[in-house]
Amino acid sequence: MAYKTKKLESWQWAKEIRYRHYQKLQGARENGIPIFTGSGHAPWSIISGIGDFAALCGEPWSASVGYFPELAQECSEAMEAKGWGRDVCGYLKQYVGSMLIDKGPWGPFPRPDYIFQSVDCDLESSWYNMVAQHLDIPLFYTEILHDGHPRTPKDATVQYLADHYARAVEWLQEVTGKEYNDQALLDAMTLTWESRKLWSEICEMQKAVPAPLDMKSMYTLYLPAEIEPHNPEVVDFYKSLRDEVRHRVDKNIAAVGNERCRVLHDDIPPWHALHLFRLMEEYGVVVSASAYVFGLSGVWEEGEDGVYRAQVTPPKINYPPRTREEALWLQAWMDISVVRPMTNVQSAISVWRSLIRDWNCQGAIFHINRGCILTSYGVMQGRKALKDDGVTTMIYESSHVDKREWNETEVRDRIEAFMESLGLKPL
Amino acid sequence: MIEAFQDIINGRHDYARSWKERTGGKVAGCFCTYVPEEMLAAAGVLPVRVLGSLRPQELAEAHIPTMYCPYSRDCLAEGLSGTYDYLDGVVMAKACMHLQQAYECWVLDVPTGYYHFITMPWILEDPESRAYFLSELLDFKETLEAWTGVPLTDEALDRGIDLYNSHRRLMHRLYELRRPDPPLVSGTEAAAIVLSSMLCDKAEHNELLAAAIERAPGRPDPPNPAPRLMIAGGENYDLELPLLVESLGANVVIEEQCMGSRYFWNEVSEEGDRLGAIADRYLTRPPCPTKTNQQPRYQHILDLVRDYGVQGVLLVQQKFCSPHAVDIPDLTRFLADHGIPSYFFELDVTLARGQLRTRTEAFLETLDLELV
Ligand code: SF4
Ligand code: SF4
Repeated sequence: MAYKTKKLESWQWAKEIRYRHYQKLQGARENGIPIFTGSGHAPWSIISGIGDFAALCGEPWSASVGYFPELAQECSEAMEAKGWGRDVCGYLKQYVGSMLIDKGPWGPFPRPDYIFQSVDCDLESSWYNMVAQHLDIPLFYTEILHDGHPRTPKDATVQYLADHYARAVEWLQEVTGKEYNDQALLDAMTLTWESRKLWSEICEMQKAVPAPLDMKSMYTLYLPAEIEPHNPEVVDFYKSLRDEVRHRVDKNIAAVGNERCRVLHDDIPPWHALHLFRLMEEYGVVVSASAYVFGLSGVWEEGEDGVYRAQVTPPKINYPPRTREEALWLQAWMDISVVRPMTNVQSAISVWRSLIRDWNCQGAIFHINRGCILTSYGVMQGRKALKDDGVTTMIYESSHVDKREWNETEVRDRIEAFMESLGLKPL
Repeated sequence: MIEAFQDIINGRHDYARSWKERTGGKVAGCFCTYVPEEMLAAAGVLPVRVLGSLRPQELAEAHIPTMYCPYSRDCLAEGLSGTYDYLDGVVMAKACMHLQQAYECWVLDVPTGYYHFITMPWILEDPESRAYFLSELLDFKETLEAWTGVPLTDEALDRGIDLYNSHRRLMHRLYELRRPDPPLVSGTEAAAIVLSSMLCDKAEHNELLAAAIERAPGRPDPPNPAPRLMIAGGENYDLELPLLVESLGANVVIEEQCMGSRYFWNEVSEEGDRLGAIADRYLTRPPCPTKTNQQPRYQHILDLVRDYGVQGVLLVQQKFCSPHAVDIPDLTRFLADHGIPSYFFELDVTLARGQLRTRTEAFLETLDLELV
């Protein structure tokens, strides 16, 4: 059976937001706007309290570098010349390499003024230590602790981060010389929650058969909530996207017209080889779920019943937040929730089980990403759990950014074998 | 000089089993040197460091991707194979994500009874870090009490602290014997002594250690004069490494590794709140490279270089070990900036002896030239 398909209208808007984000970043120095850097999901809303700023978001910047193979190669080589080789995170190499050679995809490397970083992986502090040392700029660390608790973080872990954020507010005032505006923080925080909640709602609609979105598109659509969740335009964008996706679900409009099988894919894909998703479509396979894509820009609850579901209201505090403390607590809770399935094997397994069951997937593909320890965390154990459940699974190894790790023939062979085990032939 | 220590290492599983039989106590496997072992000892538990087999294995393949360090996979494999079936519990202090994953897979697939995860922050010096880590130690204390039935009163904690502090003081006395030129204790001997201390009852180890320290000055077979090296970097519990390096005409006089000086370097203060003092000890010990601020560690390395008369540094890293892989290029430059030559060697489950020999010989030659 072939489903109706239709081009996604919101697609262009997502690309425009991304374009404007980078345009602002590249022009920030000229326009007297301070540039902050930190990882993709750094707590940008907190910075809003000092006024306008541009964000150089670590991983998205590296991913953008990765789209330009020659530049990516140059960055890797600059790092390797300094001794940082195979075992160093791919994103770190692209970002720091881009800083070292002072080149980015759209011009020179946009030199940040400040670093505000929530460490959530062994390598993130080294990453931003390198930046701080090279550029001699102020740095503030917070940390998203992995507390070993599956499903929900310990209250103390959330409070720890919130306490750091409270001190970050003091630091922001000190280094920028600007007065902190609590109302701006509360507004930004409310917008952040809204963007992320909307993204989760959109991801939940992926349960529908046929899936309204394909994963390749979702890789672009999740980005605004990661890099500018506090931007009112981003909230408007996600409202519009949600309405469009709902319409697609109501009208049975598919992302892939010949959908006949659904699989999940985790974690980060090799950005330079997204054509592998098109290859699967030739078999009528749509990648409809991903813990990474859903989680990174959403707000989720791992229910006691094992169901992964969009979090409707924040736990434990008033919403919208009314005080600085509440806003910072909310930011802390979101930050920890985002990385939980990537830093806790039991959580990861529970989320993958829910994605298979509740998002109607028949198989699972896992990317062993040699370029990132965080997103490869728990992947083998997760695959084992799904296999034990009788789910057909496949793994392939490469790197999200380093093309030299890519073996097209091998991955194609694996996909073909996987399709065969799902009982599928090319259409 | 080290037979007794080597026997403990080689017979570590039999040792732990017989310790259990003898004492009726419980044994806990520890996954990282940030586990506050004095608390386990205070509860009458024998803490033993979980180690791999140093033999190629495939058991962990279905659980941990091959891009994670061989040490972490080797540890899990030993759990999966049943080698550690005598453990009554396992305790993790959040270290690197490699070892964290090994621990989490262990929890899922190696039935051990008691599991406890202590969240050790990456940021060590902030006031929030101390409060958080202290709350983690309180949690640990509670679950430990429930598991063992032993109340961890201040007196009990003091017993654990005294035992461990005595051990740390003895280790420092031993390490003093590495400072003369030539040293009175070889690097291989010191490595065996530290490693064995992670695998047996500290009271027994203290006795053996005190006797070894007594004997060392008059020993008939002290190390010969040779270039003085430090080993710095990631995990190593293969004694072949210092043995081979020393057989090529060097003395390993100090190491900056978790299975080395980082394990015992500082003491728990005997003053003030007991858990607070334990927290401070772990927050201020020489940090590992996963921590956000490496300046204290680099300063510590420089101090060691000065105090032990180090002439060159062997930097080691387990294959795929990301924290050390990021650190080593910086550390190499730092050492070079301070006029200290170094060379690098990558470790795998089994030691690449040929490569290590060639690298070491080449390094020692350049070192000779520099010394001339
Ligand atoms: S390994 Fe992954 S999570 Fe860690 S710094 Fe690199 S990209 Fe970020
Ligand atoms: S060797 Fe490196 S990666 Fe392995 S456990 Fe130690 S610090 Fe972690």
